[in-house]
Amino acid sequence: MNRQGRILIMDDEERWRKLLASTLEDGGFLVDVAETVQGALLCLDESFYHVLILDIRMYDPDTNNVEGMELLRTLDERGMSSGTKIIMLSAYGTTKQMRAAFTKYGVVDFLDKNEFDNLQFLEQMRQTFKEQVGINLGLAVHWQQVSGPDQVVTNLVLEKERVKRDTPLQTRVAAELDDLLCRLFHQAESVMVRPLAPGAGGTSVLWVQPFYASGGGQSVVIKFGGFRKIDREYSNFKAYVQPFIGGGRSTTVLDLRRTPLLGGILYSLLGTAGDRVLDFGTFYRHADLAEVKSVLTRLFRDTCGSWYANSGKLQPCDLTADYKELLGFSVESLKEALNDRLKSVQGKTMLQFRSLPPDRRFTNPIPLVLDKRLVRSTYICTTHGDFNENNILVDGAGHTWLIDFYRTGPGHIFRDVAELDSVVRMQLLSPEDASLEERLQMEETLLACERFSQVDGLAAEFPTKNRALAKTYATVVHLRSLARTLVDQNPADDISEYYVALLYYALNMLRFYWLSPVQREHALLSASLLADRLGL
Amino acid sequence: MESSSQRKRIVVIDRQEHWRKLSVQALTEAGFLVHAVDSYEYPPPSSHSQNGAPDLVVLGCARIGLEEQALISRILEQKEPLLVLSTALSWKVMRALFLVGASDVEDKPYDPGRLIEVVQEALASTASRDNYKAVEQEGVS
Repeated sequence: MNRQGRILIMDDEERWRKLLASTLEDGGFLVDVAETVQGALLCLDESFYHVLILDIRMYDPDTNNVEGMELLRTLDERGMSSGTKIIMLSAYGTTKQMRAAFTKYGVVDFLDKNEFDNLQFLEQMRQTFKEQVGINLGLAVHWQQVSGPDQVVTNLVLEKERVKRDTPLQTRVAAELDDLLCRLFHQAESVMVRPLAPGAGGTSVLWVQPFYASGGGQSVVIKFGGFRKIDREYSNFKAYVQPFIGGGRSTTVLDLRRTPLLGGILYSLLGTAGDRVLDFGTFYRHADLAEVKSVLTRLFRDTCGSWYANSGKLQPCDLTADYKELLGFSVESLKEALNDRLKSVQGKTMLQFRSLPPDRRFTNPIPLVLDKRLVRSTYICTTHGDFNENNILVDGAGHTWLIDFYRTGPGHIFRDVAELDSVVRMQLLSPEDASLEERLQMEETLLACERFSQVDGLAAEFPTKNRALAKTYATVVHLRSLARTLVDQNPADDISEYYVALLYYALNMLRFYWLSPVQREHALLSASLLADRLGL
Repeated sequence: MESSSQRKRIVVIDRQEHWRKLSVQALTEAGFLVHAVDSYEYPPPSSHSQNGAPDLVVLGCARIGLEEQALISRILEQKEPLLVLSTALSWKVMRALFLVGASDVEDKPYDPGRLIEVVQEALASTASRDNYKAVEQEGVS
C-alpha cells in the first residue's frame, strides 16, 4: 500500500502556504492547505491528518487576532488534540502563547517563522513522524477472511453515529483503521489480520500476527472503536483487571494508540498454549460436554476468581437499577422489540406463540417489570460486564482469557455467570438445534429449582434425545452450580436473585435483532416463566 | 484536611537557599508534602526511598546550563512531571524545555502565589490527561 504522511497546513498567507506545501510535498508528504479556521475544520471533518501545522495569528496587523489559538481550543474540545499532532508556526508568537500551546493543548512543537529553513523544517517533520506520530507507513497488512478494513468497520458506533456500508464515513474509518494498525505495529514489517468478533457498544476485535525483521511475533488481539470508548475500556482495565492479573495466564495491554476518530488497545494473551485460540462460541460448538464444563470451571474459579473472591459483605442491592444501567434498556424499547419485531407472538397481558399449542398462554413479562424494583440481599464485586461468546477466549489446553473491558466494574456478583447462562441457552443453541416446544420444556425443568442447594439435583431431570439440547441443559446446570459456589457464604440459599439476573438478560435479548425469531421467542418465554417464578 | 497519604508530594530542587526556602514555605502552607534538596543528585535517595516517586519535581535555577540540562534528563528519565523555574527564559530555551518533556516552565523570580498557581496547574494537567497521552508520555503502566 502506498501510504503517505498526511499533513494539513492552516495559514492565511498564500506565500507561506505554498512554501510549506511544496517543501513537504517534495519530502514525500501528502499535503492539504486551508486559509481559514473554517476551511481547516472542514478539512478535518472530511479527512484525517497525522500532523496539523497551524499559524497562530492570521492577518498580521491585528494583534488581537489569535485564530490559531482558537482553533487549538476547538480541537481540544472535540478531543482531537491527541489524535492529530499539532505544530504551531508563527512570526508573532509570544512565550505566553507558547506556554499555553504546550501545557493546555499538548502541541508537539512551536516554530518561529523568522528562523524558517526549508531543509531543517523537513527534517523536523520527519522527526515528528518518527517520534511523535510513531507510525510505520510501510507496514504490509494482509487481511484474512475479509477483503480489507472496509468490511470490519461497518457497524462501528462513533460518537453515536453508526458506520454504514458504502458511505464516506465507512471509507474514512477504514482508512483510519489501516492507519491505526500502522501505529500499533510501528516496529513490524507486516501483519496478518482477521476479524475476531464485534465488541460491546459498537466496537470490534481483530486477531493479528505481526512479522518483524527477525521473524514472526506472538499473535495479539486488538480491540478498536471510537476513541472515547477505548479510553474508557483502558481505564477499566487498569482499575479492575490489571490488579487481579496472575497465574501466568492473563490478558495484558501492550499498547494504546489512536487516530482522530479511532482508538485501539493491543492486548496480549500471556501463556496461551500455541497460537490456537478460539472464541467461546466456536469452542462450545466443537467441544464435548466434559471439555465445556472444564473450561467454565477454570473461567469462574481461575480467570475471574479474584473478582468474585473480593465480594465483600452481604448487602441489599437494587438489581433493577444494576441491570438497567448495565444493559441500557427501557420498557419502551422492549415493547417495540415485542410488538414490531416478533410477529409470531400475539396478545397483550397473556401471550400466545404461533409454534406452541394454542391452549398454552404465557404471562407478558414486559408490563410486569414496569416500575418494579427488585431488591435482594447479595454481594457486589468486580464483574466483566459482557460475558458474551466473543469476549471469552479459549486456548488448546482449555485455559481462558478475557477481552473487552468496556463494561467492567462493580456490580451484582451474578452478572457474568447469568449472562453466560443466557447466551448458552438462547444464542449457542442454534435455531435448527431445538424447537420452541423443546426449549420450553427445558426452561420449565430448570425453573423447578426453588433453592440453590437443589441445583445439583437438576442434572438428571431432563432426559432428551436431542443432543444439542442435552448439552445446553447440562452446561446450564453446571453454570448454576458454579453460581452457587460464588455465594456459598450466604446462608439464605436463595436462588431468586439469580432468576432476577436471568430475567433481565432474557428481556435484553429481545432487542438482539440478529438472533433468529425462535431464539428471541425463547428469550421471551424464558422471561415470562421467570416473571411467574418470581411472582411479579 | 487531606491525610498525608492523600497530599501531593513535591520535590523542590534549588541551589539558591532563599528561593528554596521560599518555595518550601509556600508549598507547605498550600498543603503539599514538600521535600527540598540543594543537590543535583537525582533521584534524591532519601525522598524516593521513603515516599516513592513524587507527583511533581520543581527545579529552580538561575539559568539552564549544562549541569541543569543533565539533571533535567535524569528527572525525565524517571518519567516524573517537571516544572522548571528559571531566569533568562528566552523563546529558544523555553521551547527546548517543552520539547524535552517539561510539564511547565515559569520565569524566576516569582511570587509565592504564582508558584502555587503554576504547581496546581501542572498537577491538574497531569491528572486530566486522557489515557492516550499518558501512555504516549509514560508508556503502558
